[in-house]
Amino acid sequence: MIALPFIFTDDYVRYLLNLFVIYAIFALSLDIIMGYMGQYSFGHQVALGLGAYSVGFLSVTWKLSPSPWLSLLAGVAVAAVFGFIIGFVALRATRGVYLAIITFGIGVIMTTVMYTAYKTTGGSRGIALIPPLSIGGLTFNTDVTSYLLELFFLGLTVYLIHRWLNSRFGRAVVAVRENEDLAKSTGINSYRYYVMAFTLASALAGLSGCLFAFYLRAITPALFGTDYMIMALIMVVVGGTRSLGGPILGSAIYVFGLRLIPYAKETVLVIFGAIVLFCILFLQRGVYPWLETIFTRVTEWRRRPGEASGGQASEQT
Amino acid sequence: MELLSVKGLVKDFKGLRALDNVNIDVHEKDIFGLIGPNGSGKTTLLNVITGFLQPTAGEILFKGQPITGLKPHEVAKRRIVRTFQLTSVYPGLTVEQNIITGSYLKSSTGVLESFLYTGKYRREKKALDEKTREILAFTGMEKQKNVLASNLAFGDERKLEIGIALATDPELLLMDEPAAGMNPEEQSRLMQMIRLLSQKGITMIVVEHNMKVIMGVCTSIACLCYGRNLATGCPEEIACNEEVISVYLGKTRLG
Repeated sequence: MIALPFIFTDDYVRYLLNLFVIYAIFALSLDIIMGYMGQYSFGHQVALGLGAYSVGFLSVTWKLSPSPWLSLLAGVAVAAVFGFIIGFVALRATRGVYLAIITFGIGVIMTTVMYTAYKTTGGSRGIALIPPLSIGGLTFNTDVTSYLLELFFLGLTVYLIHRWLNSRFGRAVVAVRENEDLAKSTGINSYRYYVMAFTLASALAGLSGCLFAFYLRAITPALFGTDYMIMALIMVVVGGTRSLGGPILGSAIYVFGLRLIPYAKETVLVIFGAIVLFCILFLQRGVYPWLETIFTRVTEWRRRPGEASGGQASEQT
Repeated sequence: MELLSVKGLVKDFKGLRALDNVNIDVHEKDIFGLIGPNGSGKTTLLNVITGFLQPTAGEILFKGQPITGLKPHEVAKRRIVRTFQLTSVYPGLTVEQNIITGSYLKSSTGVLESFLYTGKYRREKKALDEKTREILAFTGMEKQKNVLASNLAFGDERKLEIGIALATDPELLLMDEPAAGMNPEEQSRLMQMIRLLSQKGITMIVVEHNMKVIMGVCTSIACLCYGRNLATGCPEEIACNEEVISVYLGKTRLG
């Protein structure tokens, strides 16, 4: 993946590659809620927006931050605090549909606030001219350098989630999803772990928001809107939940699939809608697990037909 | 000394008094049978002890310490673990993952240690794997360790449920109708398992309608009726108790 921006030297493709990596982090963070917690959040884009706007406020509007790196940390922290507060209040009693409605409402409120409080937020003009990140003499201000930086953070996120799943914390969250009463009876404080997982998911979404702000260097309140919410849902649902590859693949499908089909925008959306419907109807756990099954079958078939050993559950869920 | 002692427990559901001044004493290494007609409050008692329901009045002491009104996970931390009447496993996980998840209380490494893959994490993982193998062997599920729990046969699901409870390393195990839906062969294997667990030093409370199992393994039995204590004693006493026979056992002698 590191080689991709050197293979595709076209500016537009490089731009899409950047979006792909940022969205992949975003999708992975939503999968913590949708895949591993088994809940729905229709307000996850708020964490993304808060990450981006924290960077915008600190670096441009208020000029408080001496270094963009501090803005990045602050963005992640603000998103985490947001996730904690929402989780703390909403997860006490609500699960499932009710949680989805609460989070959706928060998304709507935040969008309105960002548009109407224009004296502070810049309204629909947003915030522009965000200074890029830099290390020593290296400034991440080109498509290639920022892509590599984002890729580093994507790797970090993947590793973090992978290790998280193998920790007591991750196992507890999955246990609550599978059977909350049984989890409680074996000593798991379901509420506490759900709040913590929600916080983690928001923090990672905040990270993707920060990277978004540093890459595009201009942000608008649209980040809080339903477009980004639907985008996140599509990436996770189409790519596949409960796997590390799924949301990343979903991001690739979303970013490239939507733009590289050479038709008018409306036609593309129709085709894309059909793909989403197809995935929901026929590949209920997404494209990634489906590809994985095909891959396993092919390798088994090549090993020698007839000797196929029963495919073992390889994925951690 | 009593390991668990329930004193004057009352539980009201709006107008209905499900438990009415229930007293039981469970001694260490007892296999304590809890019987009674449907609706007599057996499962409610289990739910109150394990914190899934809050009692209206009364007291529950575990090793002399009050555990009344604690939340389920806090009760579990005191090594009191239950199984459920409707078989309860983690359906989307494999048998092995089910048991590893059960050992949650036994693990202490956090995300950071896992993230950095520290020596402590690796040592603990090794210990957990060892423990998991042990439980798989004990429940006789080694061959099915990679099977999804949702694909298990009913009898195996019940075994797995006990396996999960064992993974928490309980001192007191409360089983809610473990023999329900089992065929005679599975029942005798279950009885064997209960006896083995008792030898390992686990105290058990067994709610059960199957008199063969109850009379076969229990060292002490209490019979509830309409939320009240009807009789308590050793299996022989209970089997001869006129009141128990009239409300529950019936005229045909069992066991």
